[in-house]
Amino acid sequence: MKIAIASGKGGTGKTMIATNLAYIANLSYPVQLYDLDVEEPNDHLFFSTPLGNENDVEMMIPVVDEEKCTHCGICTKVCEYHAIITLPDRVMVFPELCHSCYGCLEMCPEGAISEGFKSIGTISSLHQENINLITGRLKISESATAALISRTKDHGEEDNKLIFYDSPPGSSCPVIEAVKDCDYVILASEPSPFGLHDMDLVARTLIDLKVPFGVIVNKDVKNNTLIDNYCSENKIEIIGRIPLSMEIAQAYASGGIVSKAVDDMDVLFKQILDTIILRAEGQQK
Amino acid sequence: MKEIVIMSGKGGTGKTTITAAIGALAKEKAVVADCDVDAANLHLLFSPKNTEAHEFVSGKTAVINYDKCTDCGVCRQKCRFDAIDFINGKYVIDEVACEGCSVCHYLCPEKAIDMRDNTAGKWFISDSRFGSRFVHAKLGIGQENSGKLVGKVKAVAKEIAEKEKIPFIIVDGPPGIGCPVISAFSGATHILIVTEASESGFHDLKRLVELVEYFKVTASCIINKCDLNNEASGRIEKFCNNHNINVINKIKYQKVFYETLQQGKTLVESDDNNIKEKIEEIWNYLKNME
Amino acid sequence: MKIAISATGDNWQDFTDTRFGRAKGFFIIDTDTAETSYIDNASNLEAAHGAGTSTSQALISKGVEIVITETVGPKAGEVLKSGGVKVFEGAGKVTLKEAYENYKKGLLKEQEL
Repeated sequence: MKIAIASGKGGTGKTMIATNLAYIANLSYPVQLYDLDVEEPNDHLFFSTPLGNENDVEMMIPVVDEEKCTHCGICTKVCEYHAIITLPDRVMVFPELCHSCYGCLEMCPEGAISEGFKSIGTISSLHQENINLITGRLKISESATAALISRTKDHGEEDNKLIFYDSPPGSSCPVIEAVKDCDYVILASEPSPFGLHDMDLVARTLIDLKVPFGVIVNKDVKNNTLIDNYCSENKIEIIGRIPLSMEIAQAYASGGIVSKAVDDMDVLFKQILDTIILRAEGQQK
Repeated sequence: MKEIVIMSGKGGTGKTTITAAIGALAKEKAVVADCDVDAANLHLLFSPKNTEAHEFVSGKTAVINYDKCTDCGVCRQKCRFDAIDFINGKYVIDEVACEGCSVCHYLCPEKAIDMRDNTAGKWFISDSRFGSRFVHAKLGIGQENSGKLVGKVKAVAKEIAEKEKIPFIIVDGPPGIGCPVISAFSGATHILIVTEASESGFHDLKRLVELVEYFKVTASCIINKCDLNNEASGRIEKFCNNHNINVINKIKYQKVFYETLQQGKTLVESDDNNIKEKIEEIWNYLKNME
Repeated sequence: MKIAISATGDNWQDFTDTRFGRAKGFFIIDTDTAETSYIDNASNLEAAHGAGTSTSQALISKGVEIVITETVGPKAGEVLKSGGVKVFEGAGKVTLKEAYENYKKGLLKEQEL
C-alpha cells in the first residue's frame, strides 16, 4: 500500500505527518518511509540512527569519440537543452544541462557517441525499530529533481505492507513524480489564505491525475472554516485535524516525534492512520 | 539599482509574509517580483490591479499526426521518459510526462510526430495596493519548473526598474535549492535568508548557504520563530557568523503573523508596534547596505 | 578579423546589450573589410538552459575571434576559450560605437576564461 503526503505550500506539516504516521504504523508492522523532498530532505532529522549506505545515483551523459566524430553538428541540432556543443575541432558536453534523452546518441551518423555517466545525487538509508527510511538527496547545482525522485522510489524492497512517500511541496513536475501510482494521497493544509490557495493548486492536480486523496488540516484553529468550506464545496474528505499548538511546534522544532512527545497525539495519529488504510484499501479493490 | 532576493530553503519559515511587509514599506521605491511561481502567494496580499497578462511558452510537447502514423512503435520504444502509451490500438503521448526532448520526432520513420510549443504558464505585470509595480506568474500544473519562468519574472522586473528608474527590486524567492532557486540567484545583489529556529530550518539553511557561497553573493539572515527552539536558534546564529552572514533580526513565534494574514494584511498594517519596528529595522538595513 | 558586440540593435548608434547568452543580438565588425552585420540571438533569448554555451557556439561558427560584452558566465567562457575566442568585459550600457572605441583604446579588460 503506497501513501503519499503532499502539500501546496511548504511548511504545512508534510514531514511531521509522514514521520508520525510511519512511527505509529511501525509499532504494529514493518514500514518503508521515503523522503522524496530531494532538494531539502528532512525526515532523517527525526531519527536517532544516522543515515548510511550512501549510493551515488547516476544518469547518462554522452561521451564523444573524437576519432570518429566529423563535427557535423547533428548532435547539437537535436539537443533541446544545449547540453552538447559542436565546435570546429571538438565537441563539448555540459553534464548539468543534459536530460539523458539519448537523442544525440541515437542520431549521430558516425556512431561516435556512447554512454557516460554523471552523478545527480545520492540515496541513503537507515533502519530504526520497524522503519526503513530511504532518503534521496539532490546534488547542489543539479536540475534533475524529478529523475532523482523516480530513482529513489525504485530503491528498496517492494514487499513492505505500508509505504509512505514524503513528497516535495508545490504542484510541478517533482510532485507529480512523487504521487503518481499511489493508492492514496494525504494533502496537508493549513487554514490560512496562503495555505488555502496553494492547497487548491494541488487538489486540482490530484483530481486531474485521478489519484484518491483526503485533507489533513494542520495548525487547526477553532472557528476557522477556510479549509472546511473549501472541502465541503469540492466534496473532499477531511481525514484528520492537528491543532495549532506551541507544544507541537516546539517538539517538532527540536527534532522530536510529536506522537511520543505530546499527550494524545499518538491517539490522533492512530485514528488518522486507520482512516487512511481504510480509504486506500477501498481504492485497491 | 539593487536586487534583493529573499529565500528560505525550507518552506513555511515566513519568507512570503516578511517579503510582503518589506514590500509594503518600500512602496513605489521597489518593483516587487513573486518568483515562487509554483505556489505564488504575494498577490493575495498585494491586491494587484491593471494587470497585463502574458502567456509563457517553455519547451515543447510531442504531437502525433495519426494520418501518417503506421503504429510501428519506435517512438514508444525510444522514449526515455515513459511518455508514450499504447492505448486502444494507438500510440498516445502522455503530455504531462513528455519532456519535449524531440527524440521521437527525429526517429519516427514516417515523420508523423511534430513538436509544438508548450504553454507552461502565465506571467503578469500589475500595480500593487502599495504603489509598487508588481510582477508575478503562475506555472501550469505539472509543468517542469526549469527556472525559466523565474528568469522571465526577474527580467521583466529589471526592465521596469531600469525604465522607470526604481531603485530596488524585491524578489520573493522560490523554496528549495534546485533550478528555480539558481535562476533566482542570477543578477541578485543581495540575498536575505528567512530561516526558522528548528532542526529542519537549520538543515535546509546550510544547503542554501552552499549555493550562496557558490554564487559569491552577500547574504544576511532573519531567524523567525526564534523562541521555538533556543538551542537551534543559537546554532543558526553561530553558523551565520562563521559564514559572514549578518543576522539582522530575530523574531519570536507570534500570533500576529497568522492574524494579519487572515485579515489579508501585511505585518506593518497590524496594531503591533513591536513587529512593525522589526520590519522597519530590516528594511533600513537592506536600503542602506553598500 | 571578426569582432562581436552584444547588442540591442544593428547600427552604430544602438546600445549594447549587457547580457551575453540572452543578448538580443550581436553586432559584427569585420576589421578586414570594415563591413558590419548583425546576428539575431532570439532563439537563445528564450532558452531555458544553456543560452550562453549555445550563443558561444553560434559566434564561433561565424568565425568571431573577439567578443565585447559586460561579462560571460563560466560555461560560455569554456566554450569561447575552446574556440580560441577572447572576451573583453565591462562594456557597460553605451552605444556600439562607444563600446568599440573603448575596446580600441584599451579601456576594456580581457576576461580570464
